[in-house]
Amino acid sequence: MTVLPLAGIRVIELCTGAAGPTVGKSLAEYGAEVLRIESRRRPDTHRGGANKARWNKSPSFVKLHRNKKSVTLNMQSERAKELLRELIRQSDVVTENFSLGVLERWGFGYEKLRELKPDIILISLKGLGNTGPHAHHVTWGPNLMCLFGSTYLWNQPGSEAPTQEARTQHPDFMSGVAGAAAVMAALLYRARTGEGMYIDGAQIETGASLLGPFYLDYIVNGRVPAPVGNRRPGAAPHGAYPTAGDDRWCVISVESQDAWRRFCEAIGSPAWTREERFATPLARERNSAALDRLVGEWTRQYDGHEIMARLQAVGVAAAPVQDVEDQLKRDPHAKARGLYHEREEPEMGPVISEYPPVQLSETPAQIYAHAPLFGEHTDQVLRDLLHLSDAELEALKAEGVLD
Amino acid sequence: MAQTSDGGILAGIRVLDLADEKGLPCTKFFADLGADVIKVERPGGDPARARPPYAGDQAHPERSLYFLHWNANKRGITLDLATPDGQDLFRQLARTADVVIETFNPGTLEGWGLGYEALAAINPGLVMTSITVFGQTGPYRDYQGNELIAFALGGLMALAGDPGGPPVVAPGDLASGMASMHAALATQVALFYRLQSGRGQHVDVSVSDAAAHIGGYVVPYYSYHGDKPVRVSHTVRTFELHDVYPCKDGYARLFILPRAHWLTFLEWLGKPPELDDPVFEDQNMRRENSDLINPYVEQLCAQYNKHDLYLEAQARHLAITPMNTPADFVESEQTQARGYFLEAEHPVVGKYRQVGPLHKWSAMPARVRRTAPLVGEHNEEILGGELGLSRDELASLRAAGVI
Repeated sequence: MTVLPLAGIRVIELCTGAAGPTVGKSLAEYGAEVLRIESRRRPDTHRGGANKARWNKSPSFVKLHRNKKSVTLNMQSERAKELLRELIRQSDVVTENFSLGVLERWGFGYEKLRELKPDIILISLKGLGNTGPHAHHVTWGPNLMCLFGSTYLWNQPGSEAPTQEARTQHPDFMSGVAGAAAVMAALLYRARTGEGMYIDGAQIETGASLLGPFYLDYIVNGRVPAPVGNRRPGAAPHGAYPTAGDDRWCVISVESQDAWRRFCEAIGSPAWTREERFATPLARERNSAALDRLVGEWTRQYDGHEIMARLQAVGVAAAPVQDVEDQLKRDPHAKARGLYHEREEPEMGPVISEYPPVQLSETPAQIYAHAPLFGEHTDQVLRDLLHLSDAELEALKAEGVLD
Repeated sequence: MAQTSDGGILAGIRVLDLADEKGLPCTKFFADLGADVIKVERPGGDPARARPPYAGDQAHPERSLYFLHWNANKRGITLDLATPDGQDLFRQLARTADVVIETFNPGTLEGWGLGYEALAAINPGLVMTSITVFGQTGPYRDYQGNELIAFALGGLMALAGDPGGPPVVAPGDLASGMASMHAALATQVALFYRLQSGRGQHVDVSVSDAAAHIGGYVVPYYSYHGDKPVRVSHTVRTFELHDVYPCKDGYARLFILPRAHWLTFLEWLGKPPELDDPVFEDQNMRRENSDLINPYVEQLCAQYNKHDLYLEAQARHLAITPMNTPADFVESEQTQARGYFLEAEHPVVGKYRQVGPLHKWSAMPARVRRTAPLVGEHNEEILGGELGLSRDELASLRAAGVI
């Protein structure tokens, strides 16, 4: 097995939900040891909440927590807090995304953590951050998408529907990866200066950064920008086109006159492609509605993967709009790149999750362990790191400290 | 080697930025944290300078708000990498750089003698991060693509839009954004590993692979349960699952998941007898009986402006958020309090507000060190001052179109 580049880095994960855990997941994939602190008294929603039967059978939990270790500590207990303090003394990073003030109330705010380990790196990744008049607000990923303008912009121009957004929660994943990148910056800073860091991240701010140009259109030009749909300046035809099958689509993007010529040839040079109104890039943009209709009449006859093969063969950008079945069964490229990782989960059987979209030439990411069962590593970690004896562990369990 | 450190987290790290839209968020991450990022543009200016919106709606290489947003905190030079002199000058810069971030089609830099192997030979510690639509390997490696193509392959696009209508790509180049965040993470992992090994690496990032990471839990869920999600209409609302409801002046999203939140919400609705039944404490039952619940929700929302509904709801600890436009987000009191937009002044555009770093750092105040560079602004400083070219030599290179 090749070297893991973050071997030796230990992370204490005090997180629920998805964004915070994605920080730990991203670091664990490069070899950091991530100790996820959980409690049977407050089981994570991704474990299924109070539904015990689901605790080790949740696909979303698998995606978020492969590679990590699960240590159960009942944070109502003073003894459990002592144990956590001892673990933090031996760790490099703490991640948290509890509601505003919770971490501090438990006695684990940044200043307290520094007393335990002066060069500790703490990243707090709340929906709206730790400061500001709305920092205490209750938000999930889809709420954030609404707040920073993504829901409004994810639409066709002139649409009657308020949005065309997909049902997802991308700020969770984006901000989690960005949070891991922030932790890496802090680790590099620590290597240079010997100092730790407190990082206050707002999940909303990572997603919002991608919409910067839209905000600037308002700030500088005073306009409220409208949704752009699938349009791209300088490209026509460009967008989604219907293919054979029920509600099945492909995408095509023609960005140059040269590509247009090759596209026309590839679709058999029908007479309409020689009309004046489609002769130049500007003409095609002006007449894009008619153009899209005509292109759609061609694409409708074929399957999306077939269209990709035919058009890409002559250097025209095209792809099927894949659903999850396509992704897992009909994508030879993703397969060759090892994008989908199948692994046995102890109580579930084989489950697939995504491998990072990155190949490092010498120290690649790895998915090396199943998602931890509830409390699977409590004994091992407390023995190995805190040198507790079996008798001590039994006593703690009897007192409910390790619930 | 690098510019004087001024307290930035990544001060002392030099990044040569050859990135287009696929890698701009990655380069911004480094620039905002104080790395010495040098934007290398082709003579006359990077194509990104042609991307709207423009300040005052005047298309001009120094007025692209898209370019301004992504390129603050960088210096800029021009080099034609297709010429022997351009390649030579780039090699000289690469000799002492830490990172190169590039987004050319695979094989392009190699063709110019500037591929990873060639540069690692002169600088073994160099980390080269290549962000391309399909990655450096795999059957689609030499295919044509852009954001639309990558996004379509990732599975999420199939869930966007209304059934029967074309799916819509997410705003803000989301797949490229996800790829860029992974690139920022992996590049720093490579830099961290370099501390032990002394060696750099080639970091191969695929935007189409990254697109698969935005889609939530669809892959693990499908692999375990065999259920494929399908597109659902945005005009027929499913209570508590992403849909937005009309308010007096816009829309709001209601994310009422936990049982406690539902009970609070029920209280707020005045406990209508139809809904006041323990069976609705199960969120699945609420989802399935949206037809019953919706009229009450619609009635409530219709009484409020979206922002007032937001504050009323949050006072009750309910996750209800307004569907903000980009303008609403900029003007929000939370956004202002967080200092997300920083005062800046650009020589051509004038005063504006720039999106700052993604996180708040204990060791670094958020500020704009400099606005995006003018075309070739630092040619004298870097090619002259650092590489020792004389004024006459610079003039010759300019005349030959190399810079």
